[in-house]
Amino acid sequence: MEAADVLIIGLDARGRVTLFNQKSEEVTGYSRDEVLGKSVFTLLIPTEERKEARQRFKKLLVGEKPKFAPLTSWMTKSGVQRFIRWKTALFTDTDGQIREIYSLGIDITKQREAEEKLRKNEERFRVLAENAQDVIYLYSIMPERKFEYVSPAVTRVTGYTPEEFYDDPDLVVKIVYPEDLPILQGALQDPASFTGPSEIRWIRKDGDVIWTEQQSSVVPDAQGNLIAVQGVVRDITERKQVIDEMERARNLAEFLVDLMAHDLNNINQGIMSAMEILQHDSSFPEPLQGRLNDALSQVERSANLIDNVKRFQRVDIEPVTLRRIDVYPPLQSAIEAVERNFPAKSILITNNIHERQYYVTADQFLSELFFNILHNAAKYDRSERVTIDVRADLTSDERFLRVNIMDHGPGISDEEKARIFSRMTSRKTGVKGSGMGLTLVGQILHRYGGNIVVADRVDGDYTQGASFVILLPKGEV
Amino acid sequence: MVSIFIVDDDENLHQVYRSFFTMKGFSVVGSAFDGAEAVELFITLNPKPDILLMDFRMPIKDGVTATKEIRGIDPASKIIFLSADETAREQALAAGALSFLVKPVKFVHLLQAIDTLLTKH
Repeated sequence: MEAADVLIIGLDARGRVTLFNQKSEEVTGYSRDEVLGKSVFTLLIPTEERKEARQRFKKLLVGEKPKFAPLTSWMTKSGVQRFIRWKTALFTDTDGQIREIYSLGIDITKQREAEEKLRKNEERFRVLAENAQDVIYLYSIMPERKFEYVSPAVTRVTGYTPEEFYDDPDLVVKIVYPEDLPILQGALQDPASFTGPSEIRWIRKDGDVIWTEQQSSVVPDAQGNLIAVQGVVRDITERKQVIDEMERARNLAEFLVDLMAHDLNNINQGIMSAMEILQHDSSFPEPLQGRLNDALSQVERSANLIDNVKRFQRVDIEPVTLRRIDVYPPLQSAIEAVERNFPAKSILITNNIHERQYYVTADQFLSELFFNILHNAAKYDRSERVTIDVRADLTSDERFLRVNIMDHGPGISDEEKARIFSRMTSRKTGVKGSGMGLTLVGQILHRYGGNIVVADRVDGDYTQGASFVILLPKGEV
Repeated sequence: MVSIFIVDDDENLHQVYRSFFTMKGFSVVGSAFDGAEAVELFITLNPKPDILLMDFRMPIKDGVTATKEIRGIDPASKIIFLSADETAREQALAAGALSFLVKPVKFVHLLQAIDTLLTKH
């Protein structure tokens, strides 16, 4: 009895302790001497439970055994509550009077605490599920197909109540948008293959079509058999509408740019050709030739602007897929293009980069980036012999390739430096003459996560030319 | 005398091209405002023009289709594509155009292209 792993307590008919084993001592912290002869109610049972415990004890004394093993709590000597599940035996006198009551108890405090934790967790998840904006569901596959749980958000999303889903397991199939029915049928036939997010349209109770995003997972039983599917359904109708609107706006913008660029360049062709005829016409007054040339260069400027708008749009709409690129070929192709563009000037572009020396993370627009900076440098350098130096090295942390493009042009004042890339955000303060080239550069670098700064080629004297320092993320192998 | 056939839906361009080529001593032997008209006229022309200037975007039949048909009729025809739409370059060359210039084109470049076609092809 002493070595037993259960609490054993004996009480006389007045509830005084007559037996108190070692386990009881361990659990309560009281020694047998401290307990024997004392009332179990006043010593061990918490005040708020005493009344009920006494009533149960009285019933025992008249032979009324409880249907279930009663659970009582005991207060330990140190004031900690322990939960004990009791099994009781009655010992009577020969005349049938109850003499003593013996009870065996199991300390189930830990089990109670675990149960309480679980209950609180379940409560928390239930509150979450009940209040979630997304629909949370559990759909059983075995032994029969039906909804075990659908959160109340289903009413907001579909117009149908959870009860309607419980009552009709096929409702989910009935309200799916016909075109998306194969997706849902596939999911019901082979739920294991339907775990990734998928978009399905439903027809609401009021007839509106909504877009939903489904994310589900399968629930196996202990043997690994698939018995249910659980998941979350999110109403993404608004998101879809915004994406559609954006797509429409983008298509319209693309169409308008294309239309404008095409028609303006046809108009430019007419103006340019007419002016060229005048240039070749011997009867055209010589003193006005200068004006004619100016007008022609304005037409060329207009054509360049249109070209840049188209390039800008291309950079904007092209999906970003960066890769490791040898920086030499795009730089070389930009250098050659700039040399071709100024047949009237002598262009000398030096660089210290050779093939397969530096790799960056970029895409097909890298050459466009170099071209725009080199082209600007050549364009604004009024001398007939244009020299541009390109120097590249890695930054000290080796995360970026630094490409420094230095020209000998008129330079950029500090005031202009501050706003040179800001044309897109503030057209009114745009740097005169920079066109869209540098904005395009900024846009391309934004794709790469790179950066650009403008400095003076000779520190402190901007009139000696500009230095464009480009930082390109290094290409990882 | 080099003979030119102009295909473009822009009437103003017809006038300036015609003026320029006449001034340069070329002969403009025909002109059309869309691809279908170009093919119809091309069939009737005898002798065939030395050079065809072909626009891309035109009503009824575009320049690429007209180029294919004209090259089908006369594989020796020399077609220079003149378009403000640079994206048409590959299609035009695949259809049989021998040169592609993006509008606005300077006459000096157009003359170079004509010269190249007449001397090399």
